[in-house]
Amino acid sequence: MALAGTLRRYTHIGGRNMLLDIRVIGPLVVLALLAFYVLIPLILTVVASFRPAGVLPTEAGAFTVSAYVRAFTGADFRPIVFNTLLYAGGGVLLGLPIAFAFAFLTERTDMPFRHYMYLMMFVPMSTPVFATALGWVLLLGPRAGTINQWLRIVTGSDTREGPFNIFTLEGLIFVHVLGGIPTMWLFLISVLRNMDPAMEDASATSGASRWQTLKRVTVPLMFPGVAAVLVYFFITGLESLELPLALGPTAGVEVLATKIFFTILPSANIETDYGVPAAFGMLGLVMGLIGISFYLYLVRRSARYAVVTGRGYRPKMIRLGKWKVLALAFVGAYIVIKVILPFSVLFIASFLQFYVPLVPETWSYLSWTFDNYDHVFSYRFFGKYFVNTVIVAVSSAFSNMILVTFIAWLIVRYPSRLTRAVNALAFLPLAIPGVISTVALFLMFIGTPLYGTLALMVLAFAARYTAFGTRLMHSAQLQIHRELEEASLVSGAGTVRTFFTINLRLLIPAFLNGWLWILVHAAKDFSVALLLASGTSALVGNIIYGSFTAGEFPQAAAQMVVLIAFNLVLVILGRRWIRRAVGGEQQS
Amino acid sequence: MKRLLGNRLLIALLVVFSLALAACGGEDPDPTATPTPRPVDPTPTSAAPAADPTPTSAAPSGDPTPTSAAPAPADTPTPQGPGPFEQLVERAKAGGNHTIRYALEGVDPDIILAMEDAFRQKFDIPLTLESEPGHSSRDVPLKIIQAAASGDGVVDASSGSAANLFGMMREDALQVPDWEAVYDGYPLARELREAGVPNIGGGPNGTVLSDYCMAEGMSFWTINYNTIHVDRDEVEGIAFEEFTEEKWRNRLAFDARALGFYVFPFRDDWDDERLRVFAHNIGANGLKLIPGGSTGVRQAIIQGEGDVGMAGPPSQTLIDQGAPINWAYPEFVPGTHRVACLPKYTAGNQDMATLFYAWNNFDGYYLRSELTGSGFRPYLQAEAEFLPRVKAFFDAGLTENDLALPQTEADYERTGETRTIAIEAMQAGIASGEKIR
Repeated sequence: MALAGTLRRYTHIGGRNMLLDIRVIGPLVVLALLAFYVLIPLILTVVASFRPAGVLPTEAGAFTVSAYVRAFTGADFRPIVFNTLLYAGGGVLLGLPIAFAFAFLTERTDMPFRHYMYLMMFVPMSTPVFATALGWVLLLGPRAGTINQWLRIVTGSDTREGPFNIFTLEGLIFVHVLGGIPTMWLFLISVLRNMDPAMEDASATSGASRWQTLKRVTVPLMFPGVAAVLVYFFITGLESLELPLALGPTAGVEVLATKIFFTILPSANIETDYGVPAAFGMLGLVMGLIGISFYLYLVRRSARYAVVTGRGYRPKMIRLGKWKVLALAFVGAYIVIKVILPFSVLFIASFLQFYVPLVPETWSYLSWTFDNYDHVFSYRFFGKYFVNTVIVAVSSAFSNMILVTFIAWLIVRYPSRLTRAVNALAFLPLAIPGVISTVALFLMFIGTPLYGTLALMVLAFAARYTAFGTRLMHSAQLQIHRELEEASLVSGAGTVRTFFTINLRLLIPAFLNGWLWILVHAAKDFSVALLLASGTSALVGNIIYGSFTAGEFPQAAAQMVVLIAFNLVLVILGRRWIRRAVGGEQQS
Repeated sequence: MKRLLGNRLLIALLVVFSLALAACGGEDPDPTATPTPRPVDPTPTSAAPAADPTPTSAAPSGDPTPTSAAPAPADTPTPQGPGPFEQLVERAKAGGNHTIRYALEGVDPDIILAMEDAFRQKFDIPLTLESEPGHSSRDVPLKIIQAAASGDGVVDASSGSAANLFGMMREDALQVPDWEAVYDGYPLARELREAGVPNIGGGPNGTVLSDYCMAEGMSFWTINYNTIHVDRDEVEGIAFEEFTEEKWRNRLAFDARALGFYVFPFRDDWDDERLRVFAHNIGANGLKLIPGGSTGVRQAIIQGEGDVGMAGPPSQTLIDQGAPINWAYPEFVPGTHRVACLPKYTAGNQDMATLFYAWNNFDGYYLRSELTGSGFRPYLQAEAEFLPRVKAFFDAGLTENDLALPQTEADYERTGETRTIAIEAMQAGIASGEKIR
């Protein structure tokens, strides 16, 4: 009775049961969920970093700092930190201006074919990173790269190497930049789409010059959104693994993520030492936390940037006139470099018995076949994994987007200590290297009934993509003024009904963009299932990666062609849905 | 209109989400499966294979004739009734669950189908092979160890580098197979335990690796070369240090993790310092470091990014298709032992796992060798006719003395160190571009 009284005293304020208040119960439920798949891996990582070699974080044993000593006193420590910062920083600093230009051309100009940008940007997202990297090796390998060989033939060069070399830090950053642009673009179109040009017009009407308007209105309005993108991609660059893994060893470039990968999976001795990779993981975590703090500082003033109101609103289009051709050429060059060239290599390879460069010296070796597609259409060897992939990708996309939309709504609408904690916690998965969080989930669930099920992979993807989804929906939610929801509440609708009928519907474009993004990323992933899947729950990404690592490159290429085609269909359908939904809103 | 659209969207979201989650069963249990019998704790018959149960087969234990050439056990019934192997076959057949989960990532589906077919023909059991995701020597051993710690099984068979498997043994994640039944069906198993399993101890109750495993073969590395730019004569029998000469400048493509030459110090005439100098000098000779192990090196050779490299031989299928790649034995052959073992807890039918374990290391091994040219265990001359690469090894005048192999527990524990020496020296050579000594 006393306990009940105490509980009642804390849960009832002003006669209201706060446990039934969405402002309290919502963040608490979300915090519990996030704690489950964010904090537990984090705690395992921290504990592992203080364990001696060969002792699991889940086992009893002594604590030591020897892993930190071993990790941070090695000769390779400083080059690793330097390379990581250069790779992550270079990627975002070079990629952001290009992505911004694309977003601006898409959202604010009358550039022809701009509606196809969605298609063109989602296609490269659906290609596995290691496949893209391989495509570039085949094109720009210093000696045998097809582009390099043709350039030598055309220029009559008698050297056997160059002129380009993908196996350098610059080459690594080049491919990283190309790969990051589509997702940056996705974030930036939200920023641009919701920037009310009426404010710029008001500035101009008040007599401000274009420069003054840019300085006092446009830049401050966009600053938090653009800075958030910059910080977000810097952090993702810190933990980026697949590309440095594919090109780094040949380029002689080691970064934090590859160091963790190679120390967590030693190839000569099974006595796995989680301490050193966890110590490196902690370094990545600290770097990420600094970035997150900076990001949160930037968005703290976010209320000032709410610009979508109940009033009629349509972004102002800028007429490009004669610049249309240049704009198209700019976008076209990117599409050719990022999509058409590497995809062509994959497509051609999928019809070869083995891949050789498409140059005169090896023409006689080209051996064409359709055999690589034989097993792609077999249910047992590909189809069932494809079904698994669709289930996992669709479930991950839906569950994640519903969760992150709710999180973003709570953070923006009900600022409090609780929701600030939710905001910080939702960002944390970004700072935990993917390979470490997968191992942590593996250690948590091995031996439980959940291990080896598709549901566990949905959970793993939820953990992995929560940060992305929250950022995307947070940016979108910031732009929705609360007067629309207030009108709904005043009209008698409840909080939950208002969330679904007003908020969610206004957020449909961002929601579906995020849904598609998670779907194509989950569909191509292989790393999560390596440790979390069983024989029956493997994903297509595993089959492709398996073919690839077994040297069956043409078979892997055929599988990737099918995966990319599937993702393409999803993107086209998704886009049609978005346009119908948005069109419906605007008409009504 | 708004309400309609909103409700339709909401309903669609919830329905799809619910359906998707409902489908998240993942496991696709075989309705015919029987509960997995758990093996008893591994109490080996001894610490050495010599004291193992005597085979009861009609074939003498020293008979070098592989089973596929020998009469099938079913054809040689003993007067006392079915032998241990035949009993194993019957139990496996009656067990119901005929699926074997195994690290088969990247194995050509045609080979999987051929294996299932051969197994079915021999035992009249409808084997289904299922691939466990993950690399056979990186991810899968980790799964087996952690699953065993929870009293669970993720695969039905495990093979790989002795370095991987002795770790599993020490973590008490392996079981002692029913050697009596295995010997009865495949007498050569005894010799493969004696000849091809390194002497590594530290298992539970003083057990050693050969209590649990028999030799599967060797991971071995040869010279792979691009046939457009290199003649076989240039590389056959080549001394490794010749690759530091100007002739090979900018033509070398080796594995970034020092695949192959990290075991050089386990030969009498090599040591760590000689390895360091060699690795540095090939680095300075314009070496390209290729990720992805043998596969990556072979692809680099085929496309011409390098003219020669050290890797496991390409498949015979690839050579027959006309790819511009071939291979040759160098002055000596570096390698590591591969062993075949049974995990302590299997994922399905225990008897089926034991039967597959025995079959896969003989008939299955020879079949894959026939289909792809793979398979290398130069321990028994008798197997040469079934294993083309072993035949080529002996035909080249090489013997077991021409292998560079870690042999002991100390050797295997040192492979991490020698690998680091090789990797760091290669990278230093590449960075400096200057040869040393």
